[in-house]
Amino acid sequence: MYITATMSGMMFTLCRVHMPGVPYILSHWSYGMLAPFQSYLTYNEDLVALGRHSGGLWEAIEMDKYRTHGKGEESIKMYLPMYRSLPEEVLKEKYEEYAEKLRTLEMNHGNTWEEIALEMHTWPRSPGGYEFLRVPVFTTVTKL
Amino acid sequence: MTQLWNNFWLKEAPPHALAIVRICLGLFLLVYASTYALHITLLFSNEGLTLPLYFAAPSPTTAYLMYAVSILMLLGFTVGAYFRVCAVACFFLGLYYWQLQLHMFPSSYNRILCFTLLVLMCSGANKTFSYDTKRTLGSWTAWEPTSVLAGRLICMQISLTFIGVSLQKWMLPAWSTGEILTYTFIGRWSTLLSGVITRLNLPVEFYDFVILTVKVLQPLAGIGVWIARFRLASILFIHSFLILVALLLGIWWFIFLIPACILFFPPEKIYAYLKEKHVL
Repeated sequence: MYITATMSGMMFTLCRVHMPGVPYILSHWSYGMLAPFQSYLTYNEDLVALGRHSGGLWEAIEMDKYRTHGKGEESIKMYLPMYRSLPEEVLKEKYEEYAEKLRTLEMNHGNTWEEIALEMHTWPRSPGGYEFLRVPVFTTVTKL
Repeated sequence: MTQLWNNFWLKEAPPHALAIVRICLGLFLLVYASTYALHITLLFSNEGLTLPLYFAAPSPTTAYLMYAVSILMLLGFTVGAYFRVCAVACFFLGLYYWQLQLHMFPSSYNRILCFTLLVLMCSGANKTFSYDTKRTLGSWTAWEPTSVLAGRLICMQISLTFIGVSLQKWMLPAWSTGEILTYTFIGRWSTLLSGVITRLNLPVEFYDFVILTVKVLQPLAGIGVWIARFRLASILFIHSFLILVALLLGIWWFIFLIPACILFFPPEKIYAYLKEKHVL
């Protein structure tokens, strides 16, 4: 079983073809062990949460307290990778679920928000530092 | 031919190398698990930021209880106490945490870790240097021969990972120049050391050369580990590469493969070496 799954994983790594008859989960798991680090980005991204006060004013929520690990790991988590391959509506639902959980957590921290909106901020990478070019003129905002 | 095949996969041999891998992997997993210790409610309970794949997140109390059980099982795995029970529990708890939280970070090393646990679960990694041998044979260093199958599977996976990852580098457009390295060094995986290297303002040819060197040496190391003459050099390359990945990109989780490379040496040689050094 191991040899078959590995052959299928290697075939997918090199030719993007799954070997027929091999269960997808085994083949894909093997592929995941064989093919790390395939591409790179030329920009940085950050998930930004905005909370709406009862008066209607939006304010950025301090997210650092919910980021438990390093920048690399956290920046992968914010894409909800396992839901990316599913239809767009499912991914949207998951981000809504995430926002709702965030609202409850914020309430436990004493911050009551009427609503929470999620945005992805994108800005170019720079040798000057991770946040160096994170300025309005270079930052693109995508609502989730 | 059949005899050679069976001998390669299934022969009985001293278990010391496998036991060393068990201890090192157990210690590594304890360190890995400890990085979650302060965030159990947030990461593993229904009062946190979990988006489970299959089973709903439990209450914080249950999450703490499960974490405590996980640590206990990892300790049992490391010292080889009721090894089979602990190894099976570690594997399934690993899958549970995967569906609960780790899927948010679906990395190659988490997959390789799960695979290694699955393989060790069915192995005789507790047949020496373990509480189980102390309990049954009267000494921590007593030993019984075990099948080399588990060790061979782990070696095969390490070797194929290096071959697979390097072959894809020859085919992927992103790996055609050193640009991937320059952008990675200033991105989310940058570290203090990669920052220092970036500030040296080295020419792009330097990064091209590094990428080419990696693309050539990685598959050679993946094959070289199986050839006695090139084994040590290949293992040294693998170790250096994994250490550099940890230092330059902060991706430290692959270092559990470093002690696992001991499995490429014949188990009899490891046994003889330990005897010579009076460990046994």
